[in-house]
Amino acid sequence: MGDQQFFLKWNDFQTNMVTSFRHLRDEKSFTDVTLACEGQTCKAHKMVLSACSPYFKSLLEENPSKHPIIILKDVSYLHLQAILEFMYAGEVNVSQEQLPAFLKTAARLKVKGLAEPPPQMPSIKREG
Amino acid sequence: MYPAPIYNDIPQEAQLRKMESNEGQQTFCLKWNHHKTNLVEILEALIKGETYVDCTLVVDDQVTFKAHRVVLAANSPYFQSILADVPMDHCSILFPGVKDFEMRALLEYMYTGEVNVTQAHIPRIMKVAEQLEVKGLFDMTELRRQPGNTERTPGASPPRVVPAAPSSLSPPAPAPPSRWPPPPTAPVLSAAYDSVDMNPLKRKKLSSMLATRDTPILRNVLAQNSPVDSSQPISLVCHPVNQQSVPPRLHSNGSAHETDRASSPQRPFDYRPRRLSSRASSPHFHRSDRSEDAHSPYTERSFEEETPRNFHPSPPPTNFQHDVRAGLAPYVPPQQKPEWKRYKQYTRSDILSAIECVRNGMSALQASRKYGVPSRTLYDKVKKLGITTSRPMSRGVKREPNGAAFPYGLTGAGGNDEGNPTTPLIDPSFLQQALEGATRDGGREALHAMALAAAAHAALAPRTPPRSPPQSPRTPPPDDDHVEDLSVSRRRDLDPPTGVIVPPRNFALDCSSERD
Repeated sequence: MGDQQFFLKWNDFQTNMVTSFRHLRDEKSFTDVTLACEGQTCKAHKMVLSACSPYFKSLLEENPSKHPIIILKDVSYLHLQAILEFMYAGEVNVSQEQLPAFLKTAARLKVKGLAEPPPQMPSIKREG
Repeated sequence: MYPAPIYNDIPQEAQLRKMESNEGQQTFCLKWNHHKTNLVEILEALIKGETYVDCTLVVDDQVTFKAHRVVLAANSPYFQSILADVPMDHCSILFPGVKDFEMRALLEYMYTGEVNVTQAHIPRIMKVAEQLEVKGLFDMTELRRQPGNTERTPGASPPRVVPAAPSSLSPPAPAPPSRWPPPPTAPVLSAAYDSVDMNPLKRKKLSSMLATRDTPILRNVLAQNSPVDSSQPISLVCHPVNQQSVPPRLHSNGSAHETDRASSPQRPFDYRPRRLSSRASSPHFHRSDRSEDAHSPYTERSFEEETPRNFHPSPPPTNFQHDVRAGLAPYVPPQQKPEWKRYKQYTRSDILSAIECVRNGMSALQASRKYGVPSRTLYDKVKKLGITTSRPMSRGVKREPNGAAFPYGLTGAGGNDEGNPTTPLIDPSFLQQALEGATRDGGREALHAMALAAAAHAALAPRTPPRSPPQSPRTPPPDDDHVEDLSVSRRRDLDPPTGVIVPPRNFALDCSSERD
């Protein structure tokens, strides 16, 4: 038929999403999960965490709570922040000496893009 | 669950209140002695019945524990900050990587103040406890952190990263940076702590340690002296700690802190284990101690020019953590007032007059007596000025074999001294300085001062100008401990030419005479 489809595309969609999420995070708007390590906490969105890490995804799926607090063991707060930054922005600056530890943490948390497929998770038994 | 007393108290209280309003200012303290016990019992019952629980702790394998946020917060500054942050009806706290036995033990500990665990589990539990900053457990582990690490102050305030207490004795532990917000309970604790009965000497000892910020020692000492603080766990049951008590050692010369310098690991102050055994493991103590010491009187000595040492309770963990290290290694806290300075009890004009007399032909000994200046000081000064004394105070004072013993003494002390222990510690200028600081009445103090100076010099590679104003801190108290140690081992081979009574500890003097 003459039912023609039109392709609508917003070229800035991804940029917008990224900036919006970042904004939300900065403002702590709609945050629904608290990550804690080394005595410090940061808030994030379950959705972003789940999208970026199967580890968090399964963790959050298994514990459907309105606002869970996840206390991460053996994770440096610095690294956690960097990982969140990576998740929200898709990029992050990590100093060279921090890099190995950072990648290790990322692997443990199965951060997509940082931890490639089979990350070994020493002390974490959770499997989605 | 409420025991009867509470009901009995109420009318009584009302009565008392009334009286108060009628009669004026009198107030009454109503106290139910079992209040705390009752509270604890109730909490225990509540958790057992899962009554009023308002959070769920989820550990590995989906094991869940219900708990009361208020209890978690009360027992852990970490929880306190997290939970304050997240006000929710019922929250879940996920602990990936934590095993159920760990959490179970910690919960039991938090609710009852004690828990039985198997030895094998201890390391893991302690680790989690540390991470969660469980009071008592966390505090004890805190000391193990290494220099580069951070330290936490319990409390709800945001994390503060501080270099942690390093103990050269403790093996490096890979501790992550953590925080230490100030405990809300601190005031209470310190108040309680202040009440601890300590004799002035002990206090002084503590103060001097505070001065050096040798906190582990301090804590330990405090621990011994404070039966009060019930908030601290007495000990970890299974820790093979050497529980030997550390009696405050007061040396004859009253300089109390020397021993605690604990320069050698085999000293009773073996920080780590003691730490575990000590009650005063909480950071509160630092605080309270400091403030306490700020008022603590130094009774046993008169310091002519010594202004009261200020122990500012203020900047607690930040610095002192460094200084803990300092306590173990030669290190000069720059802001520290030199210990030996306390001994100087004559004035500058005294010494000047004495020098003048010597210049005019009086013997150094006479002049020193006349002006109440330590003869050695005077002699050294005179010599330095190039004045020939009419009757040179015999270097004769030289008791010979002492010099020989000198290195030995130092070695003894210098166990953890970085400098070469066998090299002579005494620098003439230092001695001079020290001698200047000597009290008139006493060879003893003078000697002590010299010992201190010597030690300082030993520890302090860069030499300080001999003539610098006396206020300039130069001698780190930690080091006098060394000296003290040594001198203890030395014996009285010294007969002061001045007729002054000389205490046994004198090697410094000997050295000076040898080297002049």
